[in-house]
Amino acid sequence: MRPACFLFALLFVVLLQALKAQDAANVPCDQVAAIAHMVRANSLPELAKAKRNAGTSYRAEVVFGARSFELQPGNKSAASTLLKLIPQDDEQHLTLMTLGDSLCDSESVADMKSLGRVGDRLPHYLSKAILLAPEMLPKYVAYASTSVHDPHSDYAVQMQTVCRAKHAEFVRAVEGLPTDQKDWFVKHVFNPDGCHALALPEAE
Amino acid sequence: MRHNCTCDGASISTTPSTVCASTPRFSPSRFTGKERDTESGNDYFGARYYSSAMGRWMSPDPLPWIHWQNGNRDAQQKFAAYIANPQNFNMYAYVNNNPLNHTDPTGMNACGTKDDSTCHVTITIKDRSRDSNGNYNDGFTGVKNQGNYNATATVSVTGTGADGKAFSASGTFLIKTTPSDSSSGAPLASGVYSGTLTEHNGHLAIRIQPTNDLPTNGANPGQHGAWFAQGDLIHQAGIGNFTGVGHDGRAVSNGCLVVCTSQYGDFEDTTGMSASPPQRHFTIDVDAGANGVNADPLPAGPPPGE
Repeated sequence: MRPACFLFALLFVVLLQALKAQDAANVPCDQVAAIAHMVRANSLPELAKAKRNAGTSYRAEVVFGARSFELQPGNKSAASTLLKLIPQDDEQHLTLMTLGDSLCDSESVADMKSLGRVGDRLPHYLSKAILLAPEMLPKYVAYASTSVHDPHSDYAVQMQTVCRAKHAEFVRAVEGLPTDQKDWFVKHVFNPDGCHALALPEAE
Repeated sequence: MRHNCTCDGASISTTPSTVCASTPRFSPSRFTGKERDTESGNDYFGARYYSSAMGRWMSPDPLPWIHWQNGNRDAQQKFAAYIANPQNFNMYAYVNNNPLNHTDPTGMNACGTKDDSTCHVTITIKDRSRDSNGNYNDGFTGVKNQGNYNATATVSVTGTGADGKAFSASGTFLIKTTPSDSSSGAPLASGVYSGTLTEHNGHLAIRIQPTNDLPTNGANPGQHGAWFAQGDLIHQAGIGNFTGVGHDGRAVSNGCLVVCTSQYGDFEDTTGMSASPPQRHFTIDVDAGANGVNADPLPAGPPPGE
């Protein structure tokens, strides 16, 4: 009886993991459409209205944050909101990498391209936002080593502007990284002294 | 038409893939081996007749797209996507007016326009063959800067058409599976992967799955020396595709599999990526040759990162 219980529990865990993995990849089509609608919003009220249909998933929040900042690029509150959405774990990092993916098997290519454009421009938006809210530099710098795992990420390239504009704060943020992370950062990701990127995205 | 039979060497046919320069694509008497109606001179495809003389179907494509607009939300989205492609309105056109590179053996549209699950697209990646001196000796040797591509991707499409008849197509394309800069990436290990449609810099591409844990056949500098990669795609090689280096000196591949740019349009067409609605699921078989760069991972497993 005990082996049967164990097998049942094991099966349950496996199924749970499979469902969790599926959730990460499959997003309901109406949500994908609503999230894509946010990309097309031309005003804050229109964006807010679209957000109500898009839900509160990390994917929806990131697109909302990026579009909100894009519509009001000088607004510190919008900048902070976007910076707070810098990925904190692998799942969030994965979400950013897959913004332009086909997620529901029937979204339009136009929606995929719209969402992919947000993903492509996110490092640029973050580099602009951090100049408005430099107190968040430690979080911004810490994500760089993860971001460049994506071979297409230009996060390190975008950091060059930040490093030059806020050099002292930037260097302090790098110094504040845990030792092993800092070593990797300065050796493979970014040279804070010369303000130049070491991890480059694929050329296009 | 993107190119003719003496150019890039890509071919798409209903038979096992061949290099286009060496095999005639169709005979003068019959377009794709279908029966010819002796009275009308038209070829019978099961669902409708095709006029070789006119290069047009003699009746509309019987796909029931018109009814999608009255269906549920998904069907309506499908309808919107379908009517967004002007070529779909030319229901008398033969394979998007590109008969040199496509065939439509059932008389229905190309595979990507059907239900995704009825269409199986396999992309088999193999090393290019070489002569005893180590030079490539396949049908792509006439392509400019072909030496930058170490492998070929053979796309094989099989499925069942809406009329219940089998559908198949294939094509072979130059592909680069090695990182342009070994300090920034590692080659994908051999194996069978799934792929999903994605967008990459305004173009459609295929994401190799799993997104965050792809085995490599060596230490990946981009992943702290661990033997895996993230975010690898099959995508267009880009502006610098012929040299393997971008115009600003950056590598065109940090580990992604990049298809020769001049062949990418046909690659999209063959895989159904460019169809409306597009094919969204793919099987990617990375097949290591005897001296392949996409070798198997070590049996003992990858060494730890860092």
